[in-house]
Amino acid sequence: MTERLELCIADITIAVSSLDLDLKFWVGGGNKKFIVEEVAPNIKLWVSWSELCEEISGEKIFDSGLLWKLYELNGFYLFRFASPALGSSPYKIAKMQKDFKWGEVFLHRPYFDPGLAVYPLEYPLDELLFINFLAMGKGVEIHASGVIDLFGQGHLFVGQSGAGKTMMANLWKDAPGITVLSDDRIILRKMENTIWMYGTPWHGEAGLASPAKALLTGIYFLEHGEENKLVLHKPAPSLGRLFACIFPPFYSREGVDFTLGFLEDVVRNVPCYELKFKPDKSVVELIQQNV
Amino acid sequence: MSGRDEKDAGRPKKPYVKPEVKQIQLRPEEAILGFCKGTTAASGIGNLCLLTCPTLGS
Repeated sequence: MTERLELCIADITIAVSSLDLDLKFWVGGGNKKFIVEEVAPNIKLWVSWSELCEEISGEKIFDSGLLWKLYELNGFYLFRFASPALGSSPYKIAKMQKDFKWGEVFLHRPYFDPGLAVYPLEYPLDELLFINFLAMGKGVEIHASGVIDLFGQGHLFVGQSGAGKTMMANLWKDAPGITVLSDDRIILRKMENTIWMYGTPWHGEAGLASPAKALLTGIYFLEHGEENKLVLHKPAPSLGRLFACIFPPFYSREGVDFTLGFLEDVVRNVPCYELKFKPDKSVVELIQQNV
Repeated sequence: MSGRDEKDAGRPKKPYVKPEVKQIQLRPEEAILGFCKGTTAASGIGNLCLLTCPTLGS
C-alpha cells in the first residue's frame, strides 16, 4: 500500500508518496492545517529509504554553507542535505526535475530511528521546493507576518529577524474578526491581475499559521519605535526592501529575473509604508484606521 | 504635442531632487534558509538544527 501525503500551500499542491512498506509519514505542527486529500498535485514526490554515499556526482552550483548544497546532474537538480553531527554521508537527497514538478527524495536509512515515522519534507526541503517552484512564474515567498483584518483585507508586515514580525502577529491575533496567516513566512501570488497573500505552515516562535488567503492591501516595513508612525514609501526603495526579505534562487538567472519583475508589480500596485511601532495594540488601531 | 505634454502644460515644475542612493542591509544567511526554524520532534532524526546551525532565527 502506498503511503501518501498531500499538502496545499498557496494554492500549490504537493503530493508525497512512498512504496517502502516500513516508511511511514508523520505530519505535525503548522503543516497539519495544510493537509488536503485527492487534489490534483502540482508537484509529485516519491520518497524511499536508501544508502547514500558520501560523494555525490554532478556539478556543484550552490552551497548554503550550512545544511544544504545544490548540484546539477544529467538535467536534474540534486539537493544534498548533510550534517557533520550525523556523519559524512548526507541524511537526505532530493532529486528534482528542473521544472520542480516531479522528484524523488532519498533518506539515508542508517541515520533514522527505526520504527519512527518521518516528515520527508522537513525544513529546509519544503521551503526550497516552494521557493524554486514559485520562481517559475508563480510568486514569491517573503519573510513577513501577515493578517486578514475584519474587513477581509490583507496586511503584510515585512522584516528580517528581530524586526518585530512575530510581535506584530501577536498584537493582532486576539482582535475580533482577525486571521493571522503566519508570523514568519507569507507567499505572494498574482491571480487575475491582483496580488494575493497566503499563509504558510512555516511559522515563527508564535506558531501562527493558516492556509487562508486575502487580497493584499498594504505592505508595512517594520521597525521598533517609541511611538507609532506610518509613512508612505516610494515604490523603488520599497522594491529594495522587499528583495532584502525574500529567498531568491540565486543560482537561477530566470528565477531571479522573474522575482524582480514580480516585486516590481507588487510595489506598483500595493501601497508600501514604513511602520515604526510600539509594542501594544495601538498599532492595530492605527493600521485599521489608515485602511 | 504629446498627451503628456498637454497635461503638464498648466502645472508648475517640481523642484529638482538629487537622486539618493539608499543602502539596504541584506542578510544572506536568512535569504538562503541558513537559520534554523525550530524543532521537528518526530522527524526520526532528532533536532538537526540544534546539532548543526550556529544560530536559531527565523
